[in-house]
Amino acid sequence: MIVIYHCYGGTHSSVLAAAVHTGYLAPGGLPSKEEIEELPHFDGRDGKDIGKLCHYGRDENGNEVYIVGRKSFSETPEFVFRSLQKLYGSDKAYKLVNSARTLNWQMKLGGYISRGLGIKHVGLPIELWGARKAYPRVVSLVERIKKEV
Amino acid sequence: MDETPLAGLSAYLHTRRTEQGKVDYRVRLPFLDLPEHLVDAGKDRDGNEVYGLWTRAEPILVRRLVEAFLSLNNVPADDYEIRRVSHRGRLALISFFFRHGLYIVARKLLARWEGLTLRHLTPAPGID
Repeated sequence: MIVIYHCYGGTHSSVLAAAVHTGYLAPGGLPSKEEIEELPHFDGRDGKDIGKLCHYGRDENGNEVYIVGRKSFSETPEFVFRSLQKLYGSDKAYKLVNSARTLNWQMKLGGYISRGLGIKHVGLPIELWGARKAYPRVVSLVERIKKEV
Repeated sequence: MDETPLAGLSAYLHTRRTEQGKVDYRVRLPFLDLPEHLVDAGKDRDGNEVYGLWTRAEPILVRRLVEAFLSLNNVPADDYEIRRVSHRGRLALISFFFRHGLYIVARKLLARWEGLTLRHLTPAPGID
């Protein structure tokens, strides 16, 4: 199974979810700001990376985990993959997960300031504050997805 | 590939236009009413498989997602070519109506301006 977490920029909520899924972050407990900041691709991708699928790792069951940014087109990854799979008759199974549902206002604001406006030293602390607050929701999403795949 | 059903029309014209002559947009192309779809237009005279894909999203996103899917399925990049439908001339207006959900108007304009608009879509390559 290939699991693809997608969100607006593919750099915040999808990275958090993929990190939990692949074991970079432990599902129990709350990661520190430093641990989140050091995650690969966290707050590191922007508009020019839209649609670029990025391999994040593999979970304990051998499922490959990817992240992708899709701006506000939340239905598009599902539509494209399902259409092509039907056409192509691929035997690979895909699980596309909209991780943006876990976002809170701090993450949205921080992400906009950091990636949208490019003011990282202002946006990133807000983003990290929000990421820690949203963490239980992210863990809950990942646990649900892991049960499904 | 496009944000509008013109992608399906382009694919259709690519493979069938020269054989079938005039196209009745109201009866024979029901997919023109769909906001997003993938249509299999068959093979062209050179044996290439032709598809039309459209959805309301940024074309670069759709292109990269298609490339990602094909890459995950080990399809080499030189086995396919993704082309965007051109919106030259009156097609720009037709595209505008499609994008804003005014399908009836877009279809009527397509039928009315068939000769003019199709010049930009055919032959095979009306796609740039």
